[in-house]
Amino acid sequence: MADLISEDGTTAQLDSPEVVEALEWAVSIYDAQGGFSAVKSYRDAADFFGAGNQFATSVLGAMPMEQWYVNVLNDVSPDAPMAFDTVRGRDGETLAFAAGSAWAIPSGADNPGAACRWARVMTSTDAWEAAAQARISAREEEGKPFTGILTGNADADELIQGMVTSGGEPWDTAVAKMYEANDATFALPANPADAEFKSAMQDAVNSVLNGQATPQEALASAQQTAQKALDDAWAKLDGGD
Amino acid sequence: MRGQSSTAATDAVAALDPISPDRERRQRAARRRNVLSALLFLSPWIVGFAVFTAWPLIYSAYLSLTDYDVINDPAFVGFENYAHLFEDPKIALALTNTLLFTAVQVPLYVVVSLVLALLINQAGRGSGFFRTMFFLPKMTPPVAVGILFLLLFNGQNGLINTVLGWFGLAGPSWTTDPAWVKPGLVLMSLWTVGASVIILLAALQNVPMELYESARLDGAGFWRQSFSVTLPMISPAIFFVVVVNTIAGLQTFDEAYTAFFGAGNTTYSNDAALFYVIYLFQQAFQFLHMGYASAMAWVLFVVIMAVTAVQLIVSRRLVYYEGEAPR
Repeated sequence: MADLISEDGTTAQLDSPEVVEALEWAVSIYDAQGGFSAVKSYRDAADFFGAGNQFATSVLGAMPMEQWYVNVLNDVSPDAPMAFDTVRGRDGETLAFAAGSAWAIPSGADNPGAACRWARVMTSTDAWEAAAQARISAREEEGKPFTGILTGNADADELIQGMVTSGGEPWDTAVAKMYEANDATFALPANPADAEFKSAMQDAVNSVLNGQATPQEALASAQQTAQKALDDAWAKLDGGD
Repeated sequence: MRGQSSTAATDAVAALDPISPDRERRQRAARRRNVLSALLFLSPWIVGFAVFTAWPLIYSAYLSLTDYDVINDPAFVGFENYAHLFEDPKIALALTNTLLFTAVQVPLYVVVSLVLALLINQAGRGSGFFRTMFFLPKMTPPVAVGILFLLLFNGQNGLINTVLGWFGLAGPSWTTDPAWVKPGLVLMSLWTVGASVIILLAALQNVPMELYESARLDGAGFWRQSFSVTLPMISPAIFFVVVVNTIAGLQTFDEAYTAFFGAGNTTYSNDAALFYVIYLFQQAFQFLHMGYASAMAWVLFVVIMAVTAVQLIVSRRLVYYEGEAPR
């Protein structure tokens, strides 16, 4: 397994053979279903958030997707014939990419101590437990299961996993798989060019999906763009601009 | 001689009726009150213009000379942002996309508007109904038009490809094939031709019938009348539609962003739809490069000014302005 970016967040590794192979594999999922154009067309035409979604209407076979979509499917098409699993590496081990939002306190903030305390409280295990409890109550009122929350706080995740309520199959498996994936996540290290890095990576993936480049070509180009963005951003940060 | 007599008479009247200092003061005060009243009535517009147009323009010019990420204070960098524009390959891509789109979209838009206006002009009593029908799509929010594009031009089961299929034609992948994305967006832009149709229809209805009668007496047929009477007489309206749509084309954003970069496509995008303003938006609000985005905005402003200036120069040869519009 290779990282997309070095651990210290300074060096892009988008053109590594492992990343190229991963992209080839991802594209092959679409190719097996008629190619990305066909898949996207079906997906655009499908009622993505409604009962006529692409799985309920049997127009798509498989799709890599983020965990929140389990809730959507459970809400709008609880009886659709579904199966859930994690993405696995060549060694058969679960592999997942984690991303999320974070709070940052600007260096010139008037009251950084208060901002820090607020951020700590908001991300504390107690706060997440209260949020989960509120979600459970809301779901119970609707007669629906509580499928968990991924918080970015390992203690809170463990606690909340124990609060999950059953929705029957295949939804219980879906939630179990979500937590299994959560235990095997990797994330991009913090870096000052995060948006530019992700954009370069996504542009590469899209140019492959659109048939404009091979995975190797696209990722080589993305590597240059991403590295330049990282170099510029780190230079600016180190220069104290 | 007559001029001298007149001046002498005026002087005599002035001598007989001198303006007293009090009257002059009252007149000045009245003029001041008039000016103040006018300013008071104009003040909502003046405040709006200053706050929402003039100040943002000036501030954007200043930001274009800075490195500004919204969180930290702007740091002056001179013309660095402008220099960087020439090194950024996406600028060239976005500009090419935008110019190509505009070059194809504007002529097609004008021709379709003109054809529809000519048809409605022949519709007699029913013209009001068709005028309303053609204008209604203009009321559609651009975001909805973007979504509509994805549905109508869907490669698998969109209406466009379905209709092409009736004639044995296999429609392309309008929403993913880079070669067909821009043609699709150009066709979709025709959804909003209604406003131009109304403008051209008004111009057509203002062409004096006497000119057609004279042309017919001279033996002019339909095409001769169209080229020698109709087109010259409505050329100012056509020119207006061309200029306005060129500017809109160069600033195109909403529909393409919704279809290819918006909320429904958080990770998917298509380079073929990367128009200049979309890239500007990404730089400003995705990467927080406000200084760079401001420089991009000023370059676009210059490009639009240059294109409009060329259009104005060309128009001197092609647009016919009548001194007095006939009733």
